[in-house]
This record gives sequence, C-alpha cells and structure tokens, in this order.
Amino acid sequence: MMLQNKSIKFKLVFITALSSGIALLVFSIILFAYEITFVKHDLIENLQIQSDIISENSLASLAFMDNSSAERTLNALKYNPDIMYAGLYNNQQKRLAEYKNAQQHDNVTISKDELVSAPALISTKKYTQVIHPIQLNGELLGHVVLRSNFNSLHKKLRNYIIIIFGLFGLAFLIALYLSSQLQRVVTRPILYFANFIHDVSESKIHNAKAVKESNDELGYLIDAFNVMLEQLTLSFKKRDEAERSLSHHLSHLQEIIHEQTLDLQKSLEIADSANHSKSEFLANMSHEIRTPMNAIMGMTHLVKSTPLTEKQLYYINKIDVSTQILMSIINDILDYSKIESGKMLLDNTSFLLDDLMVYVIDSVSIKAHQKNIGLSFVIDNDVPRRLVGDSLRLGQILLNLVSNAVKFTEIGNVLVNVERRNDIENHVELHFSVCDTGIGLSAQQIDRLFQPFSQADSSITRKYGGTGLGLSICKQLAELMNTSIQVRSTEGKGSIFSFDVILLIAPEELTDKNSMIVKTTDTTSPHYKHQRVLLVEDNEINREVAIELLTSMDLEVKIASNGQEGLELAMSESFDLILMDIQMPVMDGLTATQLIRAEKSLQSIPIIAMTANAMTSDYEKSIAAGMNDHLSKPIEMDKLISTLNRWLRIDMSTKKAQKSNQTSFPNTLEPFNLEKAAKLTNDNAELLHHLLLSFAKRYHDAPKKLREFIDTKNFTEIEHLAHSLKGVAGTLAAQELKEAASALENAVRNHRYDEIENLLNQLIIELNPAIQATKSLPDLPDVVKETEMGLSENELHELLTEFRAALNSKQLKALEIFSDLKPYFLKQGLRQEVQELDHFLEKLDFPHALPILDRCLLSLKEK
Amino acid sequence: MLFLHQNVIQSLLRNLRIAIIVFIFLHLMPTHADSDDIDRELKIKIAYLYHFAQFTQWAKPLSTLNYCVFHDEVISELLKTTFIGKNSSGTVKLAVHAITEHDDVDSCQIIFFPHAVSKDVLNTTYHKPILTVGVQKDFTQLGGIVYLFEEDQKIRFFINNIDAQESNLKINSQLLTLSRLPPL
Repeated sequence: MMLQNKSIKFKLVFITALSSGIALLVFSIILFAYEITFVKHDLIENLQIQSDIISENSLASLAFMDNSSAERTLNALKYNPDIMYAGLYNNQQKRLAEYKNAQQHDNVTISKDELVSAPALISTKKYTQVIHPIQLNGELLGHVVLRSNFNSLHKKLRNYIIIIFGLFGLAFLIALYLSSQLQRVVTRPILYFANFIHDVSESKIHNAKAVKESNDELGYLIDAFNVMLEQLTLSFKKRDEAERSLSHHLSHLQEIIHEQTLDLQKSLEIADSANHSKSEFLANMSHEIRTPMNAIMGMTHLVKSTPLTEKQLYYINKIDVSTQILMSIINDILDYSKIESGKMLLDNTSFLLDDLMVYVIDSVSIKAHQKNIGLSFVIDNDVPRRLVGDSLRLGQILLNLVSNAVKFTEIGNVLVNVERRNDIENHVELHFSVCDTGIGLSAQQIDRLFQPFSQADSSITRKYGGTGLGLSICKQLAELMNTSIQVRSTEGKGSIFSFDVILLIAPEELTDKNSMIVKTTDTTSPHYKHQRVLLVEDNEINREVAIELLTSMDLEVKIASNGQEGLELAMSESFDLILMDIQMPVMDGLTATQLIRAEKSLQSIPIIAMTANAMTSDYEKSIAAGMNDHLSKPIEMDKLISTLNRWLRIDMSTKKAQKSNQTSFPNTLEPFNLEKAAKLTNDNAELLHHLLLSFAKRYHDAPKKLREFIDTKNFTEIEHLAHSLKGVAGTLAAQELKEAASALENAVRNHRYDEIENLLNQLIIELNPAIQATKSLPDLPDVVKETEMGLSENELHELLTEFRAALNSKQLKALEIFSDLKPYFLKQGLRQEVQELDHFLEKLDFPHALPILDRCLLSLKEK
Repeated sequence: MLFLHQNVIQSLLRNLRIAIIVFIFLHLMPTHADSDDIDRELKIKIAYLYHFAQFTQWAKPLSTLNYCVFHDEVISELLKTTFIGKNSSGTVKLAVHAITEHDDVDSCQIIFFPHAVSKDVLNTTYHKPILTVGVQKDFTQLGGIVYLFEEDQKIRFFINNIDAQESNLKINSQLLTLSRLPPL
C-alpha cells in the first residue's frame, strides 16, 4: 500500500526488479537444491567406486590373509582426504587391515552384524559409510568398509552458494539497470501527457491537441483526452452563450422589477392616502360628534349648578351619565382605530400610584355602591408610589377591568391588588390583579374574550350592554406596555384578571402632593386666584361652556373668537395661560401660536390646544406649532382641571421660584461659579438647574466609589470617573474641582501611582462641598426633566439611533419611528428638516432621508 | 536313491571309510600339540591350494580342474572333503586325485607334493601347463613353480614366475605381489 503514492517510474522499476528477483531466486534455489542432491549422490557413488577398487585389489590379500599387502592397498586412500576410515575384514569377520586419516582419532569397530548385512550404505551427520562384500568366483572372501566425511561436499556446496548467489546478484543488478532504463518508455509519454494537461488547464486554451506517440493504452488515452478537449471547448462556448443570454435576461428582469417597484410605490401611495382619508374621516367624525357632545355635557354641568327640583336633578343626572357613557363609547372607538393604525403612543410622565387608584375607585365606587358590592383596593407597602409611565393608559386598563368586574358581579366583592414583583435596576415590576365574585367565564369564553366587538356571550350584550371593545383595547394597550392580561376564571364563581407591568421608579418624591387626579377625587374644584386665562375659541357654545368652567375655578378669563384676536390680546395683555382652539376662522390656532411664540416675551407662556379631533396628527401639529399640551373636546371638567393643574401649578411654582430665588436657588452656590456657569449654559437657567441637580444625583456617592476603586486598585474606573467629573465641573464652572479631577486623571493616565492616593483625597475634599451644595437645591418641575414628548433622554437617544438604523437598512419601521420623533423635532425647531423628511419618507426614499436626519442630529448636538 | 548304481555305493562306502580315518586322525588325538600345529598348517596349505588355482590362468579353457596329490592319501581325502560344494571358478568342476610316480601327470592341472621328491619326478612336469606346489627347499630350483614355506609362524610362498611363464601359466599379478623370497 506504500507503493500507491510512489511514482510510476518507481513502481515500474520495483515491479520488474521484484519479478526478476523472485524468478532468479527461485531458479537459484532449485539449482542449489539440485546441486546438493547431485553432489551427495556423487559422493556416494565415488565411495562405492572406491570400495569396488579396494575389493578388487584386496582379493589376493584376503585369500592369502596377507595383511601387509592389504594395508598397502588401503594406504592408497590417503590421496582422498574425505575418507576418514577404511577397513578390510575377512570372511571370519576378523579385521585384516585398516586405514585412518588424520582427522579420525577414535578406533572404529564394525560389528559382525553390520558386516553380515552388507552391502550397506549408512549416512549419519558426520559421515557416509559403505560396507562392500569382497567375493572371488562367487565365494565371499571378506568385507571392505569405507567411511567418508562431508568436508569436500560442504566445501563444494559453499562454493556453489557463492557462485549461485553471486550470479543472482549480478543478474538482479542487470535487471534493475535494464528496468530503470526501460521504464522511461512508459513514464516519458505519461509525463509528457501530464505536462500537456497542466499547460491546458493553466492557459485555459482548449483547442490544443496532445501529440500521440504510440498506439498502446497511453495512445488511446491521449485520443480520448483530445476528444474530451474538443467537447469541453464546445461546451465552454455554449456556456458563454448561455451566460450572455442570461445577463440579457437579467437586465430585462431588472427593468421589470423596477417597473413593478414603481407600481408598488404607486399602490403604496394610494393606500397611504386611503389610510390618511380614513384617519381624516375618523377625526372629522369625532369632531362632529364631540362638538354637540361638548355642548350637552357643558350645559348639563351648568344646569346642575342651577337650583333644580329633585326630579329635574334626577333627569339631569341621567343625561349626565348617558353622555358620559356615549363619550366613553366614542373614545373606545377612537382608541381602537388609533391602535389599529399604530398611532397609539405611550406617554412617559411621572405619576403617583395612589392617584391612579383613587381615580379608578372614584370612577366605579358609585356603581359598586349602587349594586351593593364590596370594593377594596390594596396596595402593598413595598410598592413604590412615585412612578414614571403612561398613567392614563394604565388607568384605562385598570378601570376597564375593575368596571367590568363591577359590571358582572351581582353579589360579593371586587378586590384590586397591587404587588411588587421584581426590581430591575431603577425599574419595578408591578402585579395588578382584579378579583371578583361575579358570573365568571368558561374556557371557551376566555378564548374569545379579547377579540374586538365580542363579549363572552351575545346574551351578555343584551343584559349588560357595552361595545365589546373595552377588553380588546386593554389587551392592545397591555401589549404596548410589553405585557399581557392573564385571566383565570371559574364559571359562576368569579374571575381574576391580572397583568404585570414594568415601570420606572421616579427618582424623587413628589414635592407637591396635590396632583391632578387627587384634585379630581377631591371633587372640589381648585381655585386659581388672580390668574388670567386667555380663551381663544370660535364656537360660541363651546366658549360659553369653557367660560363657565374656568370662572367656576376662580380664573379670570379673557375671550378671543379667533387666532388673530387671540394673538393681539396675548401681545397686549399679560396672561398665565392660553387655551387655543385649532380650527378657527381668520387665523387658526396653529398659526396664532407660532406668531405668539415668535414674540420673545411670550415664549414661555403655556399654550394648551383644544382639539376636537383627538388624533395624533393634530396633537403633533399643535406641539410643532409650539403648544405645550392639549385638551380634547368636548371638554370634560376632570380633564380640564388636571391639565390646568399641570400648567398653572408650574406657573405658580415658577412664580414662587422667582420670588424665593434668594432662598432656594441662591445667586451664589460655592464651589460653583453660577455667573460663569450661566454663560456657559447659554443663560438657560432651567438647564443649569437641571445640570446642578443631576450633578447631585450622579456624584453623591462619588467619594465612596473613589475610595472603593483605590482599594481595589481599579485605576481605569478612577480615570473614568475623574474624567467625567472634570467635564461636568468645567461646565458648572467649579474651577478647583475641575483642577483636582484633572490632576487625578493625569496621574492615572501617566501611571504616577504614588501620587494617586493624595490627589484622590484632594479631589474628595473638593467634591464634598459641591455635592452638599447641589443637594440643597430644590427640585425642578417635572416637565424640565422629561422631554416634551414624555421621552427620557435615554429613550430619545435610543429612538434616534433606531431611526437612523432603520433608514440605513431601509426598513418600513422608520416611518413609525419618525411619527414618534416628529413632535420632538418640531419642538426643537427643525421644521424645515421635518418637512423634508416627510417628503422623502412618503416616497420611501430612505437614502435621501438619511443625510437630513444627520443634519437634525448635528443641530441637536449643537444645542 | 533306489536306483543308485553299485559303483556309486562302493565309492560312497570308501569315502565314508576315509572320512572315518580323517575324523580319527583329526579328533581322536587332540591332546598332541604338534599334531594340532600340523593340522592347522595343513588346513592353510589346503586353502592355499584352492586359492592358487583361482589366481592362475591355464592356456586352454578347462571344464574340470584336477588337483593331484603325490603320495599322500590322507591329504588327497582332506582336499576332497574341503572341495565338496566348491567350484573353483563358476562352472569349472573340481576333482582330486591321489597319484604316484607311475601315474600320468598330464591330466593334472595342479600337483601338490606334500613331501620332498626327486628331480626325476619333477622333470615329468617340467614346462608342462601344470601348477606344481612343493615344500622342499630347492623346489623352484628343480623346476617347481610354487614353494610353500613357514616364516614367523605363517605359511608364505614363493612363485617361480619364469618357469610358470615357460609352462604357459598366467599367474595373477595380485598373487605375484604376495610372493616372497624364502629365508636362506
């Protein structure tokens, strides 16, 4: 098997040498064997001849018993060195004479029996012995005994071996030489052929032909190869042709694809515009419904505040309840269509969990009381109360579940429970469960429960009413919050609806315990004394309702019937808040807002949109125009109060801040140089305040960390922390702190480890007063800490990154993200860019949209 | 046996008588040492006589080889008993005769003279194809061919080959090599 990898040359030589070698060897062995037998036979024959001669010559000696002449005869044997022994015996078996050569020392005795059995031939290892009878005229005279050793035999054989194997070697060498010369006859054409194939494959030229030299198997091979080459050349030609036609087809295909893509874009545009029309229709519908509803609700509220008989009050209450139900149905439908079109966005504001629960309790307590059902809310003690998330939607889910529980429970209790599950960094997972003792659900019913427009049973619809959208909306809202609603139920015994939601724990406690929802639960309206509100509204009834509502809260209300009037009033008089309708004659709310914002003195005044069409697009537009918040019409008392609370409270607190500037936000704040810092932050007091507060938040444990790092010799972390401290201290104009941080950073960077500990202590000495100073600062109003869209900076950053990635990889997801980002961009004054992005994204032209986004990011960074 | 000829029975009876005499001669006097030596000597001489013929070639081919003993019945009888069952050379028959100076010697091929004889007797055989064997000292000088003598207690012989050749007798060379000169 080792032979396989050897060259053919070697194989040929090997085979020839092996076969001739074996033949020669066999021949030699046979020859040698023949020689052995021949020589041995020769020896014996020789011995017999010798004995014959001796017998003949010993006749007289024996006959006349003359031993001296007998000895003379035997002595002649000395010329044959192989004869070891010879003896003459008479017919009485008595020895007459004997002969021994030099090598035979022992006496030889031949027994009578041996002599009698003659003629005999014995061969032992040492000798061959012949006993020959001697007769004269047929009469036995005696015996001659001859014994020969094998010396000459062996010598002969030795010579034979030398000669035979010498000849064998010689013949073998000749065979080897001949085969090594003759193998070229076979290998030379093979090598030529191999080289030829190599040349062909290297040069890729297939029209060459191998030259045939002989008519043997190789010649046949070369013929076959030439035929193959021809066929290859032919098939290569065919392939080239096929490739050409394929590329032709391909370009044609690309054209077709291009055409189809254009068609698809067209269809997409059509679909988009259809969707747009649908949204418009829904917005208009809701606007059309809400305007009269607004009037009904407002008037109902007003009627209730007039003196009424008990019966009238009863009727009015019925109307109130009915309109509220109607509103909730309309809202459900709107919500559902919003979710369906993917335009539902989650808010991220900080809220108090207690407020949320009170809101839910208030909404259902009357009904529960009427049905005489026990209603208990339990929030576990370890649940953090101040959270960040979409409280409105969370409340919506919870209210829906609780009101369903109350609705389907006739006897017993409804229990709402909130538990703390897991903490993930600064987030908490809360488990909300609503448990009732109502009619319960079958497994089949649970399956269909969350499908839109379906209730557990059609008979239920008749008995309990409802659109059947509530739970479907809850399910989708839950999905938006990355959770799902779990249902466990026993028919006739009750149900448990539960969901887990992860919320950010608000980093600070609510300073002002009075929140919007708490206010509503107080049922007493707040009083905003000496605050002025400008109401810009064209619809007289709506105006009337609004005036009534606002004045009932002790607000001073000025009225403008269109944007133009509103703008003029805003410029000429001082207001604490503007309520602005969007659709108005002469000048719409958006234009008016933009013009107001253009006035430098009016840049910070809160402007709240009153949008009849509670569509995201309107909200976006209003935010883009520079408005701060929005109220959807018809204006409900609760919502109005909560919104006003949000803005008027801030207004009040900023007033307070201005008043108490000397005390809570001092002019000097050692070790920070506030004057210099203000310049560095572009005179943005809020930003400076925010920076100072975040300094306290980020670095309050920096001394402790630094000590830990030096203990564990974690120099990278020290360098890292020192670097970031240096930057922040620079921005906040804390010169000594900056220098200490810089010195430490340099020492670590340059591996001057012996200085580190001293410099680190120095930095901590500088750091401590700075931390103390920032800790003493009052908290900022919420709105400053969050972006206007309710996005935290991290989320915003993530969203921007995701948007860029989506554009880069041309994912349709980009459209969605853009609609989320749009208000933020508008808020940041990137109007031009948003329009351009809109333009390109509508055409799905992502490559052109990308540089515009980068332009946005650049200008955002500058800010 | 029932048809045996009377002559044959007579000859058998005579042979038996001689055999008894030889037996007595050989065995009834074994205590005599000289007679033992004589006996051994005689035996060897008889054996020699037998072998001489085997190494000698006569001019004419012979069908019967006649041994003649001169004046000694005992020896001629002894020869006869020794030759029973023996053929000198294959088909050739052996015959033994006792002769005197009166008998014709021409029919004899070998004549043994166990005792000394006169020149006259020997002249009758001179240069005839007769192998003469004698024991007297001047046997070969008197024209005899083979002279038997004793040396170192062994019987030796001397062959007078000149006269043998004159008598047309071819004596085997092997036998000639055994011939030795008698002591003086």
